[in-house]
Amino acid sequence: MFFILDTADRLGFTKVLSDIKPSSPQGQKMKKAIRPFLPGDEEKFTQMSKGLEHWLYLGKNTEILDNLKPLLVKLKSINGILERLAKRESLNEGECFEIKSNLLITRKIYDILTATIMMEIFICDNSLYDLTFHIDPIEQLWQLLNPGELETERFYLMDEYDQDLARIRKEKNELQKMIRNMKKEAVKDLEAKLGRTIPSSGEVMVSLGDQEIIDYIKTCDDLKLERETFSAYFYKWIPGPAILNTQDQLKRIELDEEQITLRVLKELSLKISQYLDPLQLNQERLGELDWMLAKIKHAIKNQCVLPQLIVKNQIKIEGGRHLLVEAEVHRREDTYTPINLTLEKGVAVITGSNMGGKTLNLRMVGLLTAMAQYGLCVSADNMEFSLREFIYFSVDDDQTKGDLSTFGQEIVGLNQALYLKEKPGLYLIDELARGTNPKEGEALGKAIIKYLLISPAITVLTTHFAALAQISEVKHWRVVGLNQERYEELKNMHWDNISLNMINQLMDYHLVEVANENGVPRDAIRVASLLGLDEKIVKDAETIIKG
Amino acid sequence: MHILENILRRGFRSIAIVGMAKNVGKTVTLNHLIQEADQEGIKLGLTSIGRDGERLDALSATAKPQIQVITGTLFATAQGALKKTNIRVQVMADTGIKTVLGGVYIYEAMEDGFVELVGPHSHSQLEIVIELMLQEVDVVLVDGAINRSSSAVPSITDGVILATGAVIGSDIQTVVEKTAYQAGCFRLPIVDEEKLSEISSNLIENYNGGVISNNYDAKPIKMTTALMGIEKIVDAIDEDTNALVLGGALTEGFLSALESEVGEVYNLKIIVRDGTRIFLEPRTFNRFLGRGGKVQVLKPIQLIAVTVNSTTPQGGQLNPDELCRSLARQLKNTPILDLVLGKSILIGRSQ
Repeated sequence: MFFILDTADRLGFTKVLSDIKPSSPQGQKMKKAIRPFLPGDEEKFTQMSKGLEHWLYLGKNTEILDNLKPLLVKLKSINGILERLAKRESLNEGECFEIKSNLLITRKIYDILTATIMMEIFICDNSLYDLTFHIDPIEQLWQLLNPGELETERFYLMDEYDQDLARIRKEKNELQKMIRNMKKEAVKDLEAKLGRTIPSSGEVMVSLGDQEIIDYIKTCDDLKLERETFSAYFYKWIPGPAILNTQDQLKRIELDEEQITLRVLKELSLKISQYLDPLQLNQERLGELDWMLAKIKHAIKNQCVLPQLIVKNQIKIEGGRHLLVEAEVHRREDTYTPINLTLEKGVAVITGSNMGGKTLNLRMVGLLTAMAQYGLCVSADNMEFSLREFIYFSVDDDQTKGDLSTFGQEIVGLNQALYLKEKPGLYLIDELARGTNPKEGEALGKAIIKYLLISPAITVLTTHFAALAQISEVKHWRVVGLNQERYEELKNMHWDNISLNMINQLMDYHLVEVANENGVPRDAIRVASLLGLDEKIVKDAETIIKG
Repeated sequence: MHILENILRRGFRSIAIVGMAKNVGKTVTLNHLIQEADQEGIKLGLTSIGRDGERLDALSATAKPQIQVITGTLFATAQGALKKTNIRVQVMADTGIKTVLGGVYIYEAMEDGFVELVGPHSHSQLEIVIELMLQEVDVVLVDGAINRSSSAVPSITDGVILATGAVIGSDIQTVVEKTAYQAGCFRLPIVDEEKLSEISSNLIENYNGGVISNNYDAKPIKMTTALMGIEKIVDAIDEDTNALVLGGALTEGFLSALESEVGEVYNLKIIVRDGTRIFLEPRTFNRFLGRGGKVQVLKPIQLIAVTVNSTTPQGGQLNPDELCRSLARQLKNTPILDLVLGKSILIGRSQ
């Protein structure tokens, strides 16, 4: 399990992934099947990464995204039809159409891909050839489904498929024509005799008073009284024996035609089924292509970059952004502060004021690592990392947690995660032991840090316990925090107007590595003061801190 | 009477064929138009809405005539329905619509023969089919079944042909009154001010209704059906209300509730999408209009022609000439056609 418990949701990875939308059912299937690259998959990752890099280049420098999208949108799933073919079942004309339509789109995609990529091969790199995903235009199948000159999506069981089919259709046409002519002549004849026109329905209405015509009609074999009303008789024209005979003949031919059509469809289906393998492979490759394009589109839109895989057990992020939080900040029309951070095997602690973005930093590191390992581009200026076996993120985000208290929940989760400590994973622990008394909390924290220091995993904790940051092997990062000058400035302004928003303006969210901790943190008291806590309490707290 | 030529000249591309009831000769109308298209070299597309694909007419158990197409006609139907008539076809496009009789495709008839139309069930599906067909044909004809789901089809198509007949009344006067009433709904006046029209459209699209004051303040009212929202509507209406906008239908129940609750409803305009949203007895509606009530529409519906069947399947018969003349007198400028007898009549509006 790559994500321990509901880490994927908590990091926001589930949401980010859902924002990447392939256009075709093939692409959606591919997306459903994606798995993270794990330690040991370095070679595969590098290979994927190379493709991703080329595609990122193509996406930025050519029209390929726009050109392929309308074709991918049109793709439909033909899995059901392929299954029927595999069982040697006979397809109907609609299904033949689906196969043909799928192949036509595949061929158009193939053409665009090769045209674009051949251009680029000239300019840069031969290895680009792999980017066609080896989609197969299956020329022979296309010839089979499109026997004519004109390339068309339409499907018609053409005479060319079978001699018998051609013959019987010809016979049928001739008979139909013959019947039409016979009918036309008979009606014309009758019209001349009656002196009136007979409508296409073949129904003749005669008023009850028209005795002469009524008498005449009584002598006609081909007019039959159908019904009568208080004012009129309705006669229906019935065809004579010659026509009826020919119609019978036509019916027999129609039955033959049906049988022949079924046979021809069966034979055609068998021929199509010879191309089952390339058809199936094409569906997978179209899926891979579609997924790749969706990733690229997302990356370009969100200014993501290709993460670099390194051998060193390290995660180095420059200008890292959490996409969901960034979008939220932009909605508020605030500026988002990208974060630089280097993490190595062992334990790092992030301290800093309340509302300084400590938890967000954990979330950002986790999200970017997850994105990288799922083969996505990452929202940063640069990222170097080595593959992680798992990610664990523990955070108190006020969700309902069943019966367990915050502390209980944390320990139960930690139990599951610590079990993997021999593996190069990523532990992200927000406010260790926050739910208990500081003395014991600090002791537990120290013990867990000691326990994880020798693990090959990378561990990052946020904490308010100063002592945890002072353990010698532990790296210490601190949020820069409130801007001192502007704090004084704001403090002298009208208290009523201080809002969370203004604190955001005052806060410097950057992280700095702290070599020797000195000085006393005071940001919590300042923030409380800004938020309007009673002045007397604030003063008292400051005195206590100074000792 | 060249209906299709007339349609094309007016720039219409899609026409609904709507029957006032069963057995008014809708299929005769359709078949007639197909023949006419053949003679005039017009390429036709056929589709339907709300058809179940049963061979027998479920309501009256009389055999439902199949539609006779000619080589080159396009039609949309389900795979299973195609099998029944066994006509030779070319598959043109997949509509993506699924029915109990299989997927709906657009076919081109490769020989003359009969077809059954089973296809779109919703308006959005119908729009897809029309759009697909119009890439290939000059005009699309939509066979509308008699039910609620297809009664509003004319609001999607460019125009409508109304089929009426002896089956809807025991005497000429009744048939003419009912038909003229339906035609009158199609031709309700459109909202006379652009600003009012804009605000009304907005209310309908976003809230399914509301009221608009004399100085164009819009107050949206959320209502699942107009009748369920009647209290909210009554509360919202005051002396300053100019128009009441209904996203749904104007029904008997709603109108009588409105009249009894508000009283003086004749000073305000009732605005509906189009004439297919009126579900009132002719007498109720005429009484309402007679008292000064005003109903306006956002989109008028083009009535192309009225076709008449002067007989009933039970053997009833009205005088066809008299019926056509009476209809033509009532519906000025609308061609009235008796396709069984091959007659047509058109009386222009006197200046």
